[in-house]
Order: sequence, then structure tokens, then C-alpha cells
Amino acid sequence: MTAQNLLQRYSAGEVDFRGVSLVSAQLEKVDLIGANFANADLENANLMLAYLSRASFCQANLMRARLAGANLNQANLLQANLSDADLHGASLQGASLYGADLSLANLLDANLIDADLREANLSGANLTGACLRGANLRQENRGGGAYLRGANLRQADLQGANLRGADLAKADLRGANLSEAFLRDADLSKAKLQGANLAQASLSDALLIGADLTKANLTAAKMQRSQLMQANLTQAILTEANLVEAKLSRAVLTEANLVKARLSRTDLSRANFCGADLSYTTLVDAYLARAKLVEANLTAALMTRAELSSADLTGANLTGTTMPDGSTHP
Amino acid sequence: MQAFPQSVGIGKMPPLEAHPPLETVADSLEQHASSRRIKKLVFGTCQNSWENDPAILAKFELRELLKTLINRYPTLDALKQAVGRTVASLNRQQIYEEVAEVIISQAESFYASQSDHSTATALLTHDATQLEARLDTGSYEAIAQTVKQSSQQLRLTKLLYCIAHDAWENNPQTLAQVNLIALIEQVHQLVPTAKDLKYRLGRIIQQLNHQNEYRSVADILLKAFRVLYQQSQPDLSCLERVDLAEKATSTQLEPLLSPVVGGATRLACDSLRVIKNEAEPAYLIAGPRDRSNLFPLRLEILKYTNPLRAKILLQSCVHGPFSFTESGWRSLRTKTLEELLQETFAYCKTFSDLESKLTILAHCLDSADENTQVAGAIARVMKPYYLL
Repeated sequence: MTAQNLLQRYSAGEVDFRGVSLVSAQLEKVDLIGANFANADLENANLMLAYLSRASFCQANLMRARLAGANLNQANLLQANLSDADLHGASLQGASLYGADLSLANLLDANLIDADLREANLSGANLTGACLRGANLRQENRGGGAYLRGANLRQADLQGANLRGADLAKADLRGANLSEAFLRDADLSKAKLQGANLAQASLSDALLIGADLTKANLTAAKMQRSQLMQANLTQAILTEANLVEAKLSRAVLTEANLVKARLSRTDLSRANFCGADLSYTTLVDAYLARAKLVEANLTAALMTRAELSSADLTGANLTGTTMPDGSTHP
Repeated sequence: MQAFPQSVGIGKMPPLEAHPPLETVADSLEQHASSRRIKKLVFGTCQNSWENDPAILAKFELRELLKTLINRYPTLDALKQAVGRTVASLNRQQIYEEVAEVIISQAESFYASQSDHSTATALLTHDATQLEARLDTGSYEAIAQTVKQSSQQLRLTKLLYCIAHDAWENNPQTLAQVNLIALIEQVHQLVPTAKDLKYRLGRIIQQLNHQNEYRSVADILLKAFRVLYQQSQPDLSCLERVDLAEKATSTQLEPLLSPVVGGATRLACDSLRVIKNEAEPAYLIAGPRDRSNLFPLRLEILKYTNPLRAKILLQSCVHGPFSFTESGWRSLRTKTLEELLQETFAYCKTFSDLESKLTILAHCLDSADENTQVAGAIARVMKPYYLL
């Protein structure tokens, strides 16, 4: 089928184009709203700035298709092959991308608000600046969560997104908005999270081993049992964060703000808290073997039964601190 | 309907229609051949700064500007002098002297009518002034307290001082000696609406070195002054009087039959009703939004327009019309919407600057219709991020 032929049939009222072959077709800026391209072959087709809202591309082949600026709102892209497709600045609001292959796709500044991305393959995809508010990326019953290993999500907007169990290891999330995001059981090992906003995010049981969280905002984040070994939290904001039973051994928290954070039963061995503000924190039963607390502010911190014997407290402020033996420091 | 005997009961109060109200003065000035210069001169006298940008001038109603002037200058002579001072600071004095004459001659009839009905006016002014004074004094103290407690106290005082004295004061000792409450009162008299305050602050900040810092300081000031611009609401008893007066008006005859005092009451309430209507919409009173977090702005853009078209237009706005060539696309892919928005804020200093650039570029690019829609949407959502 040729592009011209397709447009003629569409303007005559036809919408069923299932299984057609339109490889490399030139369809820039066309209006094909609501058309059905299920199982069609549109590999390498040019659909830039096309109007394709509510169209169906169920199981269609859109490999290397040029869809920059296309309007695909509420389109059905179930199990479509969009690998290496260009979706720069495309609008996919409320689209169904369940099980779609988006590996190496360019989704720079794309609108993915409320999109269904469960089981989608986003490995190596570029999601820089993309908006994923309300998007569904959650883990299905048996399979793993969304596959975003090494994905580029710099400056992406993921506020309130459901990323339970998602694989975000080594992902670039610098400056991203993850406030109120649901990241329980997610793998964020070695992820780049410098300056990211994770305020009130749910990160319980998440893996953050070796993650870079420099200057990240983790205000009131729920991080129970999370694994933050060797993570970099320099100058991060962790006020009122819940880190009960979290593992922070060898983590760097220099100049971090931990006011009123809950750190009971936390493993803080060999962690570096130089110049950090730990005032009003709860550190009951915390394990601080060889932790560096040089010039840290521990004013009114509660350290009952904490293991402090090998910690370095040079120049630390202990005014009103409850010490491991239950006594109050003058 | 019964004919009304003119001689009964009106005393010194002529019917309201006999006043040449401010609206009439404003209307005739607006219809004048030199209306643009008239507005510039009235605006210049009002704001103490000369404005040539038609987009900014259009934001201010001549009627409101005249009202500010008349409230500030109680006699025709005082007004004459103030307008004269503005003219003396201009290059084209001869032309503007004629413009000043037109304004003065129109204002003359207004001032004359005011002195004719001095009894009623006195009553009106007395009532309204007392109410306003009561509301304001407390607010001045509250604003002074906000200023004193702010970490930006010095910068806030500098801005207030600059509005009141039309000069930038850097000496911390001089600033420390300032009576803050009196300074705030002075500023309030000079700048009676939130719109005026926003304009004044914008003008001052344009001249400064640390513009970004002062933009957030101005924001604090706008928020603190909100209480003054919102409060001008009459108390309940007066609202009831308004209702009564309205009922009276609907019967047609009664207001004219009422004695002098009744008429004055209605006048007083009318004036308060005007004040009440002047309570300004929140977006005018609030300061500009925070440019360090553009996630809300980006979300707005996605809601109302296509992200790629928005990027093309912003890129064109900052770097010249987009080429739609392979190299054009390549360079667009190297920038995020966030970065383009920041570049646009840095490049377009004022909102009118942004609006005109977007409009021009929308027509320079392919599919002008679509781009006009995009330009409109972008301008609308970026507006709250501009002070001016």
C-alpha cells in the first residue's frame, strides 16, 4: 500500500488498515485519528507531527519509525515494536504501551502522563525530560518490574509514578522529580540521583547500593530496610526520613541534613557523617562501628544502646544527647 | 408615574447625574486626538517614570490612573504642579505642555464639582477615610514586622526606600534610621494598587545588578502588601446600607425624596462599593512563580500544547527561526524543554518581550496556525513566572 492510497481510503471513511505494509512510508503531519493499524508493518515510516490519537498499533512493527511530535494520546500500542523509534516530543498521554518494545527509543521530552508501561522494555531508552506523572510501570505478579536499567531519565518528571520493583540500576536520574513516587523494592544500584527530588517517596526495601544521591532531597522519604551501602549522600536533605533498619555502611553523608530522621537499628558502620546535622535524630540500637562523626551536630539525638565505642566523635556537638547508657550529655 | 416636584426635599444635593464623574473625564480624554500622549503623561505623573511600551501602558486603565492622581493631589493646583514637573523632565516639552493643558482643563471641571458639593464630599471622605485609616494602620505595622523579621530586611528596605524617594540608597546606616511604618504608609499612598506596586518593582529591578535575587525579594514585598490591597472591604453594616440603597434605587423615587444625609449615606456606600470591587485578583497580588523549579511549568505546557512544537518555537525565540533541516533537528535534540525554558527566561526579560517574540516567530515558521496556538499557550503558562 502507498501513502497516497492510504490517505485516500481514510478520507473516504475507511479505518481498518490491519496488517498493511507501509515500510518507509512518508506520512508526515497526516491526520489518521482512530485508524486501526494492528499488526501493520510501519518500519522506518515517517509519521512526524502526525495526528494519531486513539489509533491502534497493537503488535505493529514501528521499528526506527519517525514519530517525533506525533500525537498518540490514548493510542493502543500494546506489544508494539518501537525499538529505536524516534518519539522526541511526542504526546502519548494515556496511551497503552503494555509489553511494548521501546529499547533504544528516543522519548526525549515526551508526554507519557498516565501511560500504561507495564512490562514495557525501556532498556537504553532516552527518557530525558519526559513526563511520566501517573504512569504505570509497576511490577506484575510474577515478572520483574519495568526494565529501565541504564535508562536516561535526567530531568524526567516521575512525580507519584508507580515504579514498584522497577529495575533502575545505573539509570541516570539527575535532577529528576521523583517526589511521592512509589519505588518499593526497586533496584537503584549505582543510579545517578544527584539533585533529584525524592521527597516523600516510598523507597522501603529498595536497593541503592553505590547510588549517587549528592544534594538529593529525601525529605520525609520512607526508606525502611533500604540498602544504601557505599551510597554518596553528601549534602543530601534527609529531614524526617525514615531509615529504620536501613543499611548505610560505608555511605558518605558529609554535611547531610538528617534533622529528626529515624535511624533506629540502622547499620551505619564506617559511614562518614563529617559536618552532618543529626540533631533530634533517633538512633536507638544503631550500629556506628568506626563511623566518622567529626564535627557532626548530635544535639538532642536519642542514641540509647547505640554502638558508639569505635566511632570518631571529634568536635561533635552532643548537647542534650541521650548517650548509649541512657544518660544525658550536658 | 407621578411627576416629581423638583423643589421638594433635595436641599443642596443635586441629582447624582449632574456630577461630571471621573468616568466622563476619562472618556473624553480617551477620545481626544492626543489620547496616547495623554495616557503617557498621566501614567508618567502617576508612576514617576516614563513608559513607552504600549503593551505595559495597555495594562493600566486611564480611569484608574486618574483616580490615583486625584486621590494623591487634593487640589487642582497640586495636580497642575505635579504634571508640570513630569513635563519639565521630558525632551519634547512643548508638545507635552499642550497635552498637560488638555488634562488640566478636563480635571478642572471635576475638581470644581467636588468643591460645589463639599458637604456631601466631606461626609463621603470622612466615612471612607476613617474606615480605611482604621484598616491600614494595623496593616502597616504588620508589614513592617514582616520586613523586620525577614532575612532580606536590608534589601526589602532598599526597595521600599527607592519607591518612596525615587533614589537608590546603599548606606546601611541611612536605611537603619528609616521609620519603617511611615515608609510603608508613604509607599502605599504612592502605589495604591497591587498592579502599580508590581510595575514599580519591575522598573527598579531592571536597573539593578542582582536581578534574580531582587526578584525574589520583590516577591516577599508583594506578598506582604497583599493585606493592604485585599482588605478594602466595607464592614457588614455598610453592606446592609448598600442593600437598602439599592432597594431604594429600584423604587426610582425615594432616593431623590430622601434628605441630604440619606443621599450622602448612599454616596458613601457607593464609594465603598467601588473600593470593594477594586480588591484585586490573586494573580496580580502574588509575586512571580519560582523559576528554580520548572516541573509545574513543563506540566502546564504538556497539558495545553505539543511538546515538540513548543520546543521548536522556544528554540526559534532564542536562536532564530528553526530550519527544519537535519542539522536543525540534531541541535534541537541536544536541548531539553527545561533548558530551553531557562534560556527563554534569560533572553526575554519581560513578559511583553516574550509575547511579542513568540507572536512574530509563530508567523515566521511553517504552519502558522498551529504555531499561533502554541505561542498563545506558551505565553499564557509562562506569564505567572514574570514579575513584569
